[in-house]
Amino acid sequence: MPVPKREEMYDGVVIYEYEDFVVQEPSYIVVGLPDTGLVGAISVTHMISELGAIEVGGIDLLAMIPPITLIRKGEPIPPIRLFLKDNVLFVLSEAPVPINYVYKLSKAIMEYSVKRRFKLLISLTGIASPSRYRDEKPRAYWAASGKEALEKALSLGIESFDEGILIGPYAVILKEASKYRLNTIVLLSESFMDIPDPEAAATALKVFSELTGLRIDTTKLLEEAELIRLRMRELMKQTTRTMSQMGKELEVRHPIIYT
Amino acid sequence: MDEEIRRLINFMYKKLWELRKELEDVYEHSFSRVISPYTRGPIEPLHSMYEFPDEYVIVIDMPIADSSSITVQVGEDYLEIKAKIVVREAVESALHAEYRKEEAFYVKRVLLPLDADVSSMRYRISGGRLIINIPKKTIF
Repeated sequence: MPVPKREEMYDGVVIYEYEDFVVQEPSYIVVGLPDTGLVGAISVTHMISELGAIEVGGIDLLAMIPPITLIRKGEPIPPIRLFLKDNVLFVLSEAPVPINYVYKLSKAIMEYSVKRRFKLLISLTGIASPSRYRDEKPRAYWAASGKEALEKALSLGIESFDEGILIGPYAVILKEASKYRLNTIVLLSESFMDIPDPEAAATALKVFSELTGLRIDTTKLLEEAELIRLRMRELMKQTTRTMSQMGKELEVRHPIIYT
Repeated sequence: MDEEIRRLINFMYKKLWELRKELEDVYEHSFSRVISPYTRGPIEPLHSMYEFPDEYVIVIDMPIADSSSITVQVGEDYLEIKAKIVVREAVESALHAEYRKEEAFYVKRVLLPLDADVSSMRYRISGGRLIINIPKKTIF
């Protein structure tokens, strides 16, 4: 890990910046954490590779149990990495977020977003859908908080996540964003729950492209879908265990109560 | 009254099946902690099971599998699925291991619910995923 130029501590979560960088306008922070179908992690990994984003920082979770250090090319790296390309800062996690860090990490990302004055915080994730096995093209939905975010989401031409339950870091971000006066959009793509789903990631990326105006080519992602699924098998297994601890199977997209 | 008893027995069977599945998952979890995921040998594919009012759907994720080699065997209360993997350099890199041709294969055993009627089971392969539909039967 390079020597950080700046570091900020948020309740046991440290955000490092390896160099001075400026995020161009309109600035977006895009979060891809391992979750349902690894949609967020696959989407963000693909964008980093397609756009040639460069690593500018990382996020460490202090006192993580079990104590884990990720090592790449012989050097320790933080479990969550920050990549920059022009006006987009990508947050990519290499491991599932431990349940005791879901709140802390979500709040740290929001505080950092406010401090860095990001225009919009975008989260990409999957929503488990039984219809995925029928080979239907996955549909995408949005959920948003903040006036500007809502206006942008409404212009996307996709359905809103009308009623249901979200569980995990994105749920915290969506719920708490208004307290931080932060504009945030969660893009949800129908996916398998515990099988990596690059096709669902491609759907999320299509909506992301419309939202930000960034052109993301998903041809390679779809061509290499089977290899990606093979490569991400172990991360999916770890993520499934974490999701199970969170009660993620309760996440649904349908009315909760009758009124 | 008979209907009530039937419903109760079905409920108990279902709970027992869930408990057994939970125990198997715990066993699998403990086992995978001591075995490196990169050890050579058979690979256990990921799977999802969906329950619908009239059937179960099992999705087995078998990317890069040779679809002509897929076999589905019915055991007493389980299905055993096997398939060969088409080995090439990119696959070895993805699995962090070197495979000899005969070593690379998927094996998966899926515990079946009691009311799964395997005699009417059907399956298909789509994009490296094996999708198995198993209708439900009335136990009592």
